[in-house]
This record gives sequence, structure tokens and C-alpha cells, in this order.
Amino acid sequence: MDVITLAIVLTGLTFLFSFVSWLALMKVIKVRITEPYLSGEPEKDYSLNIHEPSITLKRIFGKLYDAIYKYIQTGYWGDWFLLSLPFLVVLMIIFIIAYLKG
Amino acid sequence: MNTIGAPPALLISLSFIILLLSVLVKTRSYVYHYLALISSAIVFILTLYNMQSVMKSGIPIVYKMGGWPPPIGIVYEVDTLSALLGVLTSLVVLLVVVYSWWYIDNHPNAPYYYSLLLGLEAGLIGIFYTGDIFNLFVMLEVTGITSYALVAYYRNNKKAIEAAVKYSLFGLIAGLLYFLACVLTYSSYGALTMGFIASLSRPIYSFVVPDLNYFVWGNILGTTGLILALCIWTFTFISGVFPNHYWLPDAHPAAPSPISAVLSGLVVNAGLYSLSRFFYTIFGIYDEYSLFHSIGFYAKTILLVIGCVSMLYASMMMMIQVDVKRLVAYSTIVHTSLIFTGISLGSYYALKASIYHIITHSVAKALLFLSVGIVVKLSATRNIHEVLPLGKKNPVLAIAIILSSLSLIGIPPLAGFFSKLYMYKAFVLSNNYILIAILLISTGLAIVGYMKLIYALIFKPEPKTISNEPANTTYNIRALLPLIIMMFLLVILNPFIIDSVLSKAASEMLTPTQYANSALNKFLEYFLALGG
Repeated sequence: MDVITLAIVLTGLTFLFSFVSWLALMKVIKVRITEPYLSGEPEKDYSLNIHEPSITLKRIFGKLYDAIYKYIQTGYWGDWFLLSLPFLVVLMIIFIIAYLKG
Repeated sequence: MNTIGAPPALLISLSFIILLLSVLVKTRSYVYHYLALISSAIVFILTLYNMQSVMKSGIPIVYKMGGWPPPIGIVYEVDTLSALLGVLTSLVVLLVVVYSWWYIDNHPNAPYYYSLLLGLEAGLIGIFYTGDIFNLFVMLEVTGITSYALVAYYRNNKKAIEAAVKYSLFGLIAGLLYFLACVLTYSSYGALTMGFIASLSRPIYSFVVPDLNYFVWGNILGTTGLILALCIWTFTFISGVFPNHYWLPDAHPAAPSPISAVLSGLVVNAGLYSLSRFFYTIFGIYDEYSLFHSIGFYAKTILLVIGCVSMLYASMMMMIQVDVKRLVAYSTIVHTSLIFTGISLGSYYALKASIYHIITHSVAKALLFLSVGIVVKLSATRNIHEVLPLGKKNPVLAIAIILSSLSLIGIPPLAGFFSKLYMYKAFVLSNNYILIAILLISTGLAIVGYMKLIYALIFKPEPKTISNEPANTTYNIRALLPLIIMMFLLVILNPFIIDSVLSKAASEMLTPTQYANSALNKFLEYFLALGG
């Protein structure tokens, strides 16, 4: 079995699959009528209390918090899907490097 | 008497009998409660007997399905770790069945509930007992399908349906990727028996049994790398570790509380166990006698990084939750990630600590979910600001919530403290001081979440007006008995009692000579008998 060829094919298929799924999920966003699943978290009445001396740091943490609170923890699967499939690709690349070096 | 194959077979049979009974005869719901209780009690006794047999024999016990030897047939191979997890699973499910009697009571879907719960237990015990990687796939699917259905148990709740759909779709992808790993394994090793592949992975076995080399085909180093990549993805999904955790905070809270206890306390163990089996027993990437020792560094780095990121992320998420069950679900991710980091280190102490933490986490998490379940059911809400502080009225419930939270934080003299102590010791011995810092930060962040929970369920002033009318139910001994037993377990599961078992389980995983030999012996016995 030619591992490199197999890895390239698998990687290509993964990218293709993620792209097609992304397209499909984008379509779902447009037609979705139910509310995003937030499991009871309030959407607006929460403010991050950061006592940092630097305003830049405050902004960075603020943006990080926004990213976590508004996008990540909502559990919207399209976003996670786009993260977890490249994770598989990264894993494969690391093990191919391990093979080439080992 | 070899009773290794009995628990999954019995559970699957009972699962179908309950379903058939519900269709053919209109019986009262207590019949299903009794059937589930009796079968889970018998399975608990059987797993205890299997554990005792394994400890007595000192070597893994092999059960050949239909009498076919490995690698032709499917085998169950039970070593100390498998037996220990089997006992843990059957005990927690038994307590959950007792609790369910109160929780489910006369619900019209009770037969489906018990049928699926017993199916889930069969899948879990099958995962821990099997010695065949394809049978592991089948058992993962049995566990998965029953879990998806149980998450969607409240089928009128759109959040439960959304969580179940999300869980099942991604579970399907995980299952496919693991299936691909099985295909790659079979195409390269010509076998699916774990003990057999373990001996093929270690060149030292080719001196003992030279014919083994005929099974191996192609470049197994590269293929094994791909198999491990697929396994990491699949098992991070099953155990809910970042970045494949996204289904867990939705699915675990959406299920009925006893099922949340099983999902968070037991189902995540399937991923952790399978990962350890692949990394230690089958391919032995930390074993210096293995062909794949060179991959060990990369695998260790990947698992360490995702474990640490996942731990910090989940503990941060715990702080901002306002849904009590979702908060507990994030706590599960914190602990599975901690166990991941332990497994990644590849040392004896780290493995021992990981196994210990799997046990203490399972008991504490099941206890916390069952306790929270009582409050959520009687308050008819999961919102942390709206749940009733029922711990004030019932000291047993209050103690259960406090003890389970303290055990998960790691406060002495509870079992969770000792398992975390073992983990710290493993980190120190492997000179990974950064891991100690990460674990401390993560625990510090998680404490905020646990304190929020304890305050809301016990110490919060009682509301004068309740927005959601509490359900007209009361809790009785069936709800409290499992809590009392689990609290007792959290106190007695200390190193003085369990250390020898943990040592045996960890050393067997690190040097799986007996595991490989037991499978090979069955193979050789069969062919010698054919020749003779």
C-alpha cells in the first residue's frame, strides 16, 4: 500500500467533503427558522468584567470573549464542523511527518 | 466457568424482551422496572465474577465467540482494566436503574427507555471486553445508536431533537472514520484481533513465532500513523475532548438526568479506554520493543496539546454557564481532557493515575448528575437563576451535591483528591511542570462553576414567587438510595483499597505480553489440534 498516495487522496477527500458540507450548511443558515440553540444563556445582558491595566489587553480579551460566547459555545455545528475536519487533516499530516522522519 | 460473553448477550436479550413485551402485552410499568433491575443486578454480579476470575488467574481471560479461534473468529479478551471498567459500568447502571424507577415512573415510554438503557450497557461492556477491533466498532455503534435515541427521549422538546441529530450525524462520521481505521488495519496486518496485532507490532514476537510475518503486508509504519490519526479523531469525539466536544454540552443535558449520568459518567470512558488500548496494547507506541516507538513522541505531543487546550477551554466555559446540566456537562470535558493528558504521557504512574481518575470521575459525575436531576425535575427548569434550592430541605441531597463537587475539584479525603494527587505525581515524575500549572489554573476556573452550582442548588435564598410551577412529584428512597451508595463509594475508593488493582491494570497495559500471548495461545492451540 502506497501510504503517501493514500494520505493525499484522504486529505483531498476530506477537503472536498468539508467544502461540500460547508456549502450545504450555509444553505441551512439561510432557511433556518428556529432560534439558534443557546441552552438558556442570555444573549445581551452579560458584560465581561476585565480589570486589566492595558486597554489593548482588554480589547483582545473582549474579542476573545465575544468569539467564545457568541460563536463557539452556542454549539452551532457548522462552525465546529469546519474546525474538526481540518483537525483530522492536521493529525494526518503530523503522522505523515512522523513516518517520513521515523 | 467462562462467563465473559454473558453480560452483553444477556443485556441485549433483555433489551429486546422488554420491547417485545411492551408491544405484545399491555402490562404495568413496574414490570419493566423489575425486569431492568433484575437484569442489571445479574450483570453486576457477572462482571464482579469476571473481575474475580481475572484477578485469580493473573492473566487475561479469552472467550471465543462460537468457538472460532483468533484471528479467524471474534474474541472477548478481558484483562484487569477491562474487568474493572466492566464492574464500574454495571454498578453505575444498576444504581441508575434504581434511580430511574423514581425518575421515569409511569412515563408511557418507559419500555423504550429501559430497552435502550440496557442496550447502552451492553454496548459499553462489549467495548471494554472485546479483543477485536472490528467488534469494537460494532459495540461503539451499539453504544452510539442507543445514546442518540436516549438523548432524543423527550421527543417533543426541539432542543433535545437538535442535540440528538447533531450527536448522531457527527457520531456517524466518527464511526465511518473508525471503520476506515479497521479497514487499514486489516489490509496491513491481515488480522483484527487486538492481541494478534499487538504481537505483530512487536518484532520480538517474530523470533518466537516466525510465521507471524506472513500476515503483515505493505508499509505498516505509515499505515499505522494514519490509523492512529483516525483513532485520535474518533476517540476525541467519543470522549468529548476539544475540538470534537461540541456535541457534548448539548446532548448530555438534553437527555433525561439518569441518562446524562450514564453518558457523562460512562460513555465518555469508551473513548478513553479505546484510545489507551490502541496506543498501549495494540501498537505500543510507548513500548521500546514496538515497531512504532518512533511515532510515540508525535502522538504524545498531539494528545498533550489537545488535552491541555480542552481542559482550559472547558473550565472557562463552566464559569459562564447558566444551565445547571450544561455546566456539569462542561465539567465532564475538563475531566476527560485531564485523563487524555495522563494517557498521553506513556508512563506507569500517568497510566495508573488516568485509570484511577476514570473511576473516580465516573462515580462523582454520575452522583452529581443524579443529584442535579432531582432538583431540575422538581424545579421544572434548568436555569441556574430559577432552580429551587432543594438542598436546604433535604440534607442527603445537599451532601450528595457538595461531596460530588468537592471530589471533582479534588478535595481530601474524597476519591477525586487521590486520583488528582496521582496525576500530579505523574506530572512531576515526567518533569512536566507546565502541566501542573495548567491543571491548577483549570481547577481554579472550574471551582467558580462548581461554587455557582452549589450556591444555586443549596444556599440560594428561596424565591418568593416561582415563575415555573414545580412538578407535582416527590422524591423517595429510590431516588436517594443510589446517591447514598455513590457517596459511600467516593469515600471508600481510596488508594489503600484500590491501589493494587490499579497497579496491575497499568502494568498490564504498559507491557501487554500476557494480552498478546493469551490471544496467540488460542490461535496456536487451534492449529495444533488440527495437526494432531
